[in-house]
This record gives sequence, structure tokens and C-alpha cells, in this order.
Amino acid sequence: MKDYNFFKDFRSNIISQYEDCNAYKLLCSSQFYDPSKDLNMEVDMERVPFVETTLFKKSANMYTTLLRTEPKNLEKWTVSSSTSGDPSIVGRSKKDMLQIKEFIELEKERLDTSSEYNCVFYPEPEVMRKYKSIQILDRPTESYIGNILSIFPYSENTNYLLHPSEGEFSVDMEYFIKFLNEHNHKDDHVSLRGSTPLLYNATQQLKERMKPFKLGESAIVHTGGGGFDGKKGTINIGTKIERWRFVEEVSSFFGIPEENFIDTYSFTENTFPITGHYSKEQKDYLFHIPRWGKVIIRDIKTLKPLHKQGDRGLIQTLNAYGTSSFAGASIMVDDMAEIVSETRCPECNAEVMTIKIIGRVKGSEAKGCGATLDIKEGVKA
Amino acid sequence: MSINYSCGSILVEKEINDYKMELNGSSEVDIKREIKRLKENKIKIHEIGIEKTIDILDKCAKLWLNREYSNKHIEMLGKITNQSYELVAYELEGSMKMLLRENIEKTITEELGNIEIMDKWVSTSYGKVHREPRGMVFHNVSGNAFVVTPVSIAMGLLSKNCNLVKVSADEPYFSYVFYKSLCEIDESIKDRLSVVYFNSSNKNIYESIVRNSDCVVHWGGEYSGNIMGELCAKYKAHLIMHGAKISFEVLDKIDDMDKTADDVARDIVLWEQKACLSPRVIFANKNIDLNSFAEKLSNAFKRFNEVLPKAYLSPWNSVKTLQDRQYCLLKYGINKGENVKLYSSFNADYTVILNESLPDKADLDRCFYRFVFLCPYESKNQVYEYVDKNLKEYLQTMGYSGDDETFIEKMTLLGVSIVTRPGEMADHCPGTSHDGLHNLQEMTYVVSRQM
Repeated sequence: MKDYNFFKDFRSNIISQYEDCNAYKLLCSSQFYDPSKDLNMEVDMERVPFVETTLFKKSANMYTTLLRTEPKNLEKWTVSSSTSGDPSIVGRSKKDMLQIKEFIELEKERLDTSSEYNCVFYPEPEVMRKYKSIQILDRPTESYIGNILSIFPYSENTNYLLHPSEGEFSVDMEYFIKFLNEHNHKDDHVSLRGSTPLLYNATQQLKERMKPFKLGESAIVHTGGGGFDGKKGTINIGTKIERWRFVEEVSSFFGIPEENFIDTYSFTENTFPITGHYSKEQKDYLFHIPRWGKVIIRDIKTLKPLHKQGDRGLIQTLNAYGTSSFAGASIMVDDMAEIVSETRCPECNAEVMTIKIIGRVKGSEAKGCGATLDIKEGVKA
Repeated sequence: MSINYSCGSILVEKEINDYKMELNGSSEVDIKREIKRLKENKIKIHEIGIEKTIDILDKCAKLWLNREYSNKHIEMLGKITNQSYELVAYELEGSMKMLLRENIEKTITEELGNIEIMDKWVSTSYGKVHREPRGMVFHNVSGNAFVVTPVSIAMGLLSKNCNLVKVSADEPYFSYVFYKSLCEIDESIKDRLSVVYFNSSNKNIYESIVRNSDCVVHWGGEYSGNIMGELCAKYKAHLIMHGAKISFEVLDKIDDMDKTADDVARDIVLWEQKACLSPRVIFANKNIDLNSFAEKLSNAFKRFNEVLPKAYLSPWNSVKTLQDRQYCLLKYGINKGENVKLYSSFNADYTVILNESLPDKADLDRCFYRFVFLCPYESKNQVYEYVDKNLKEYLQTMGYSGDDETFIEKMTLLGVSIVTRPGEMADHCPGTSHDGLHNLQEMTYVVSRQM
């Protein structure tokens, strides 16, 4: 396994980003920060200026400003599955894409990539990659989920349940039922993967008309891409899904042990996926921060880094790797998390920072007798 | 917590900043019945002397100025408006002082010329003059700058009208507790004041109310303001429009930079820029050392944060400011290639953006919760043209530091309706106009007698 020296590599990455990207340099200057002078020890990482994920939004018109390279050096633009209709657009080089792949490889045991039979609640990688793809500065856009599906080392026996239908996607329930019947009571090495709201929805539908299954101890459920608020991209099941409820219901209906549930958290502007295993005791997923990435949880009021168990705050991710083409070395996302431990997972004893994901910060506009002008700024493709 | 307005039995559950409330919403039938009840008291209300109403308002103000009474309400208002306890307390005191006897008397005298004109016929050169109430007044209170509630209700009572107040879903609390405090002082206030809530998407109720009202006072939203305007035209109800507004400051000459910075910061901190009178942008003469001014403004915000802190009841308060701050810095500094300087706290406490150019109109929607553009101008004509092009239909208060009477005249001709010194934008003295009009004048009509 590759030996990562995170601090050294992060320092080098952030100094390069400062030099390569004028936008980041300006953000740093506004805070009187120069990484080559101010980032000398590990503790200094807490002072590294971050880029807000919203700067990558299409409507902000800054995704080219946030590049660290010429657009011609990009392989593609990674686009988020925006619920609001205003996706993030992140330029990624081939090298950066390969880095995500390397991270997934490094976690293949936790992700159980060797499972023989996969049912995936997403479309086929090629379909997903091409879905609504356009050219920006001669480079194709591709959904972030499309990126991950293309990279993930699925076995040959993988079935993608989302099929294109009249411009949208529909779940192939017929095949899913067939799959479940084939593996019922066989204890096969099976994986159900993909979108949380789609899998939850499918479970609800089947519960109404079928008896529970028993896929067994070798089966796993691997979700990703969020969606616990009931929304993801154009999918909206209209209700929030409590994580514990999702696990309990899916586990009992498909006969898969709760400890075999994992969830991967990341976002378009970040490079290292963060995977969590379900804790029956805590009724939540416990996400492990891998040693090739770093997460800082910041107090919502002071923005100071938090360190104690149970502290809740905003998530900042530090990337030492995989951001050579865009200003993604230090990113602040509008999601909240809770620190479970800074050093060790209390359940599996892995020596890693462990967090719970709370979810997206909800916004409401200021209202009063002061006017809001509600002007939409120009959006360039 | 449950709130029981004057009428209605439809249970409405609201969650504001994670605080759950149960409101009794009204149906169209409930509202019609309530209006009928109020209207039946018209003659009785007309006979109430103005002195009695002044006395009730004065007692009510004193009640609220007593922290033992108002403490729990300040705490609740802080939760609802996402403002700190200290800031709500300060704003509330300012609002309540306006209802003290001496201020009410000044307001009546300034607006109507004579304190007795509502009660009596007053002699004039041609004979006598008197003011009569319009009758039934509907107050459509929207938004959460709760300063408008006591003003609207007090003017409605002083003008001897029957008053139906509809509270906002964003801030359903203050009008209700203010009404209850009036009732504590004089139970008979119910004869001439009713506070209600109904779902604003129910256009039939609005139509029914306006059809049965003589006058509508609208505070806040542009969208609902347009609906009110159409309904008032249809049913010939007198409309007093206090629509959503945008205010600004112009610093043409400064005598004392420290004091001016402090004054400007005060204008920005009060009401967290959500009120119509709050400045969103500061235009400053480029001959002023604006780097130094921005530094001082930034320091003034730090001082204010000690006494009137910003609240962080929702993470959104932090996140939105940080996002907007970075967006504006990069938009003007990189995309537009301008020389932009940021004077801000590390966290979201305050943001001053010293810009080379005047901001795009859309970015003024970011200027809430201590977030302001400081923009140098070479000639005051630039300010005039910018305001004319971008803000004409939203104008209200201009904080002004300088001595150019021609400029003041030009801006007021454009639509600015109140000019104050910096630091006084939130202090509307008794008798000053509001959005170009006097509420007591508007809620009454003049009767002349030539005999």
C-alpha cells in the first residue's frame, strides 16, 4: 500500500494551488495568508483558507476561474446531480480522475468490491456518463455519479437497474425481483448498491406485495451520493429518510445484517470518498476519514476547528491528492457533521478520525420590509 | 407554544428556526364575522377621545420598556427573527419609546397640525376643519422587522379606525403579544383591534377583506403588495403602501472618520439590514481615504459585536455570508478584474467589500446580516445615475454626510423619502414621513366646514 505523507503532500499541493490559481491567491491574500510562509506544521493546516463549494456552481460563472490548468489539459468537467437545477462544475484532468480510482482501490475491502452479484440502483456507467453531457471549452461534462460508476471495480455480474425511458430513468423492478428470488436463502456474495432514495422506494414498493427475503450474511448494502433528505438530483420521494429507519427497514426486508450496511459520502468538489459503516448501537453510519484525506469540523459561529466528541459543525475537507486541475485542495461544503472521535472508531477500533454526517445546511432568505430584488444573474453553459 | 389570535379555529403548525408553534388560523367565514363585529363598533370607537388612546399606548410602551415584562418576549423574538437578545432588546426599546406620550403627541401634532383635530372641529381661516377615520382598516403586516407592528397598530388606534391586523407567517408572534399587552391595559381595545392569521395563499380571504375594508396598510413584500394594489383598485379601498424598500448611505464629506464609521456600522447592525431603512451599500467620495475608513468601519463592527452581537441560531447565517463574501470577492476581483479589498471578520460576523466599481444590482440581495459594499465615486452624478437605474422604485432612507443641498434635492426628487445623518437611519423622529407619507393623514380624511 502506498505510503502517504499527508502533511508534506498537502503543503506542496496548497502552495501549487496558490501559485496556479489567481482566484485562490486572492482568497488567501484577503486573509493575509501565504501557504509557503504560513503552513509549516501540521497544526497550521487549520488556518488554510478554504474555497466554498458554491463558487463552483454554474450560476457563479467561476468554474474556469477556479482551474489550476488550461482547459485543454482537462479530461472532463465533473457535474453534480443538482437538486436545485444549479449544478457544480469541476474541471478534472485524467490524473485527477485516476486518483479517485486509486482511493477506491485502496478501500476495496471495506467496499467489498469482490462481491459476485451486484444490483446497482443507477444506470449503466456509459449511459450515466453521456446523460445530458455537453461540451464546455471542448471538453465533455459528465455527472459525478457517472465518474464514480466508471471507476468502481464492479464484477462482471453487475446489473444496473435504472434504464432510460422517455428522457428520464425508471427502475427495472421486474429484474430486481428476479435477482432477489435467485439469491434468496442462498447466502450468495451479493451487493445492493446505489441511490438511497431509490433503494428505499423500491423496498417500500416490494413490502406491499411480497414476503421478506433472506439474502444472508454475505450480502451487503452500499449506498452513496446522499439522498437521506429524500432528494437527489431529480429524484424526490417527498420525505426525509432517517438513516436508522432506512437500515432497519431494508435490513429486515432483504434479510441482510445491519452491520453489512455501508454508505459513502463525498461531493463533486472533493476527491477522497469517505465511507462509513452502520452502527447498530449509535443508529447511524460512522464515517472513517482515510489517512489520504483530512476533515476539519468548524464551529458554525466562530469557524474555529472543533475537536471534542459530539461537537457539531461545518465540514471542511483537505485534499493533498487529485486536485491538480482545480482549486480543490481546501474545500468548505454546506454540510454538517458530528465528531465521533478524532483518533479511533469506537465500534471497529480503526485508528482514524470518525464522524457522523448530519446533512445539508438548510437556507432561508432574510425577509423583512427591506426589498430583495430576486435577480437571476446570467448563467453561461 | 400555541398562539390564540382574535378568531379562527384552523390548527396551523409552524416551525421557525427549529421552534415549533401552533397558530389558530382563520377561515374566510371567521374573518368576515370578525370584520362585521369590528364594524358594529364604529360609532362607539369614534366617541373615544384621543387622550384615552394616547394614555393606553403610553402605558403599553412603559410596560414593554420594563424588562421584567418584556424579557421572555425578547427571547422569543430573538429565536424567530434570528437576532441576538441584545439586538432585539435594543430595537424593541427604540420602537416602544415612539409610543410614549410625548412622542405620540409630537407625531399627531406634526402629522395633523393639531392634537385635538380627531376629537373636535378646529378653527381655520375659512371656518373649521376636522379629521374623520376612514372606517375599517386592514393592516397586512409581512416580514420580520417587527418595528412596523406597533407603528401600524398605534396609528390605526389613534386615527379612531377599526383595525384588523394580519400577522406574517415568518413572524407570527409579536403582533399577537403586543395586542395582548394592549388588552391587559384596556380590555375594550378588542372593540377596535383584532389580530388574525390565515394562509396567505388563500386569495379569497384577501378579496373578502378588501371588499369589506375602507383602507389597507400594506407592509413588506412586493408580490403581495401588487395583489393588494389590484384589490384596492377593484374595491376602491384607500391603499397605504409601505412596500419593500432599499436604503443606502452617501459619504460626501466626513469631519470625524471614527465617528462616521461608528455611525454607519450602527445603521447596518440595527435590524440586521432586513428593514426598509437599513443601508445595503455605502457610496463614498473617492477623496476620502477609504482604506482607512473601511478599516475603521471594520473595527466599529467588532465593537458593536460586543454589545449587539450577531445571532447564529441557524448554520445558514454563517454559511450564506461566507459563500456570498467569497463570491463577491472573486466576481469583482477576478472575473471583472477590479481592485477589491475585503475587510471582514474571519467568521461571518461582518463583511465590508471595498469595491472599485458600483455593485451589480443582484448583489444587493446579499447585503443582509452586516454585509455591505463600500463604493467610491468620483462625482455624485455616478451615485445619482446608479440609484436612478437600479433602485428608483425601492427608495426610502438616505444616510448622508455632507453639505450639498443640491444633491439632497436631486435625490429626494428621484424618490428618496427620508434623509438622515449617518447613525440615525433607524431613528425616525416623531412626525417624520414614512415612505413619503404620514400614516395618520392617510388613515383619516379631512373634513372642512365653511359655516
